[in-house]
Amino acid sequence: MKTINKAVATSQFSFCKMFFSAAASILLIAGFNQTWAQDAYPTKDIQLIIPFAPGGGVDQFGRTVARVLNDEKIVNKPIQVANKPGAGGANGMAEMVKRKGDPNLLLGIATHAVVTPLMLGTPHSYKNMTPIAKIFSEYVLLVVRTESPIKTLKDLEALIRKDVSKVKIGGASIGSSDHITIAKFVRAVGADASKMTFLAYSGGESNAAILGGHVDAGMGGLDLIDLVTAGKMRVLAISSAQRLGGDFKAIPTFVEQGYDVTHSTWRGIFGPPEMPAPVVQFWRDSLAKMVKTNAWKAELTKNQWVDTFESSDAFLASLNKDQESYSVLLQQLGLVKK
Amino acid sequence: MNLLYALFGTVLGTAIGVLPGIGPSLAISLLLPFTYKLVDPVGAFILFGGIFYGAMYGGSTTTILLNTPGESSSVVTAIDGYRMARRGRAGAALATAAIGSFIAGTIATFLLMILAQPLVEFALKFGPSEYFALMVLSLCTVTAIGGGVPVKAAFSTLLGLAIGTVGIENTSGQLRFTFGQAALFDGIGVVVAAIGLFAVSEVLFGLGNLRKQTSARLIEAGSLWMTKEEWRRSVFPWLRGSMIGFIVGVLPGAGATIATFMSYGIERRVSSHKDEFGHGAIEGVAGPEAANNASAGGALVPLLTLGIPGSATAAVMLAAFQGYGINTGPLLLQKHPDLVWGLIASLYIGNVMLLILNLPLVGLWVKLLKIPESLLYPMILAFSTLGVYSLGREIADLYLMFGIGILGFLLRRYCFPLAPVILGLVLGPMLETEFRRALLGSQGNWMVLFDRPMAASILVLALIMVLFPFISRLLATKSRS
Repeated sequence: MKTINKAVATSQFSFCKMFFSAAASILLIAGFNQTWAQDAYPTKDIQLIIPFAPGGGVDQFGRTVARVLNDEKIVNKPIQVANKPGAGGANGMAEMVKRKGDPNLLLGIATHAVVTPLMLGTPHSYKNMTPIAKIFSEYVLLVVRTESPIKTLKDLEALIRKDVSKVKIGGASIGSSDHITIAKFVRAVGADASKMTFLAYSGGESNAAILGGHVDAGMGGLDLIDLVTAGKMRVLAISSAQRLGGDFKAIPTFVEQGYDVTHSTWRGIFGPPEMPAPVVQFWRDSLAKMVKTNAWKAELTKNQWVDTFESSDAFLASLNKDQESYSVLLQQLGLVKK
Repeated sequence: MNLLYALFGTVLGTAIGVLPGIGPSLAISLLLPFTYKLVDPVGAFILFGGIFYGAMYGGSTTTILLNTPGESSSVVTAIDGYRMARRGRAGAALATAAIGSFIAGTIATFLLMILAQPLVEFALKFGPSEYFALMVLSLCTVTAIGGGVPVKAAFSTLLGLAIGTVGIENTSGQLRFTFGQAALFDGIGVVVAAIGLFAVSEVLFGLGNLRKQTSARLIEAGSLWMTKEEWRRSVFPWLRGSMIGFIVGVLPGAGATIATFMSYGIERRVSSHKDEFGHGAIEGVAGPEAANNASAGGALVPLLTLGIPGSATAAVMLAAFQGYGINTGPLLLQKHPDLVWGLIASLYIGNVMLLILNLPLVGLWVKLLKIPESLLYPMILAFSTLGVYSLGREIADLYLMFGIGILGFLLRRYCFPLAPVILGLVLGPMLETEFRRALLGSQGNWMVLFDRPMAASILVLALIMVLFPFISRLLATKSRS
C-alpha cells in the first residue's frame, strides 16, 4: 500500500515538475520582462510588524491597513500583522534592521521612529529603514473640564505667564504628542517649557484626571470629542494647521488664535533597510491606491483620522523636518538621552 | 445566535484563564479583526463580555491545583487555595472560587446597571493623593500574609517594589536599572514575574523534593463538594469580596490585583479562624476570587459612562467600540442603548453559563492532581514557556522567567512568602507615579498627601491595619490585668 502511494506521489511530483518546466519555458519564450516580475510580487505572505501591543493606536492603524489592502484586492497575498512590542517601538525597529533586504517585511509605526532613539538612546531610527509612505495624521486637542474657570486660550496663557510651574497639564506619556504640543504652546507664549508641570497618565486615565479637576487643563486625541459633545469638556484649541471638517468644524486652531503651534502624529509604513527598489515602488503604489478607495475613506471618518498621504521623497523630507524639530524641543525639555 | 456568542466567549475565556500568559485583553485584541468582519457590534460585545468574566473564572484553576497563577489577580488565591488542595479540599476550593465568581459577577453587573452614574462621580474625585493612600492601604495588607513572620513578608514586598523600579519611569521618562538592555526598558512584566515566581519555582522546588517524599504529590482529591461549614464560611467573604472588588474596579487607576489583596487582608482581619490563614482557609479563596470578578464588572463602569477604560481589558474593548465606529463617552447609552443593554444582559447570562460550565469541570480539574510529577512538571514548564513567549515573542522574557524562577525557589527554600513580591511589583510603579504626581501638582508640598479628607481617612485606615495586632494585644493584656 505504502509503495503504491509513494509511486503515485512520485508520478504526481514528476507531473508537477513537467508542468512547471513547460510553463517556465513558455514564459521564457514569451519574454520574461520587468512588468511580469512586478506583477508577480508578492509571491509570499507579507509580515507587517507592529512594534506595540495589540489594542493600541498603532496596532489599530496597522491592522486596518492590512485589512483594507487585502479586502480591496490591492495586495493578493495575505498581510499578517505581528506585534513585537517593547521599548517605545525600538524592538520592532531592531527587528527590521536585523532582517535587512527582506522583500516580504513591513513595519507600521508612528512618530516613535524619530522620538524613541532621541529619548531612550536606542540605536535605530527612521534613518536605518526604508521609508515607504506616511498614511494619515492625528491631531491633539487642548481641553478643560466644563466647570473650569479657564474659558479661552487667553485665560490659559495668562495663567502660564503668571507662573508656568503652577499650571498642571495632564496628558499621555512623557515625549508623546500631548506633551510636545503643550510644550510648543508654553514656548509660544514666551514661558520656559522645561519648568511646566506635565502629569503623564496612561490609557484613558488622563481623561479621568481632567474630568475630576485634578489637572488644570489636559491634552488628548480627537476621540475626546465624545466628552465634548456630551457637555463634560470644553476644547480650547486643536493642533492642526487649518480647521478640520465634520464634528470638528467649530473647533478653533492654535494658529487662528494667534499662537504659532501646530502638531500632528503621523502613522507610516516602513520597509527594512536595503529593500529592493521595485518592491518599495510596489508598496508605494499599492498604498497610494489604497488611500483612494471608499473603504479606506470610510475608515478615516470612522476613526477620526486625517488623510496626509505622502510617499518617497516628500515623506523622507518631513521625517527629516520632524527629527530637527523634535531634537530641539526635547533638548529644551531635558529629555534627550546623551 | 447571541447566546452562542456568549457560550463561545465563556468557553474561550475560561481556556484563556487556565492557560498562563495570554490574558483577556490580548485575546480580545487578537479576535478583533475577525469580529469586525463576521459579527455585528452587539454580538461582538457579548462575546467579549464572556471572555472578560470567563478569564477571571479560569484563572483560579491552575492557581489552586498547581500553585501556578497565570495572572496577577489570582496570585492571592495561591496562598490558601493551594494549601486547601494539599489538604484534600481542592474540590471545595474550586467550587468556592466558581460560586464566588458567579455571585460577584452577578452583583457587579447589577451594581453596574443601577449605580454606574453616581459611582463614576465618586471615582472621578480620586486624585493622585487618594490613589497614593489607596496603594499604601493595599501594601499594608501584606501584614496579613506573612504567615506569622512579618519581617519576611516585608522583605518580599520590598523585593517586589525594587523589581518594580526597573524600566522607564512614568513621570520623567528616564530609564532605570536597564543596563542598556532594550528588553528591560518596559520593566519586568507582572505576568512574566508571576509565572516565573510561582510556576517555575514550583517545579524547581518539586524537583528538589522528589527523592525525599515519594508519594507526596498523590494527594487525595477528597470530596468534591463543599461541606456545610465551608458554605457558611464562604458566604460573607463572597459578599465582602464582591463589594471591595467592584469599588476598586470602578477606579480607573487601581485594578483587580489590588482588589484581591485588599479582600484577603480584610478576610484575615475579620475571620474567627485567623490561625488557618496561610494553611488553607476557605475565606482566603472565597473573598479574593469574588473580588477579582467583581472588579472586572466595576471596570466597565467608567467605560460605559465616560469612555474611560478601567482596566487593560476595558481599554481593548474601548478600541473595539471605536473600531466599529461607535462613539463612546457619556452619550453611549443614549445613542446605542441596544449595545449597552445587550452587553449587560450578556454578562448575566455569561455568568450563569460560566457557573454551569465550571462546576462540572471541577471533577475533571481535580484529576490533574493524579498526574504523576514526572509528567506534570514538564507540562507546567512547557505551558509556562509557551505562555510567556506568546506575550511578546521575546526570548529575553524567557530568560527573565527562568531567572525569576530561581529567585522564587530560593525564597521558597527559606520560607519567604511569594505573593507580596507580586503585590510590590504591581503596586510599586503605581505608588510611585501617584506619589510623584501628587508632589508635582503641589510644588513639592508634602501636605498634599494628607490634607484631602478622603486621602487622609484612607491613610488612617492603613495605619489602623498595621497597628491593629499591637493594639489588640495591648488591650488584651490590659483587660487581663
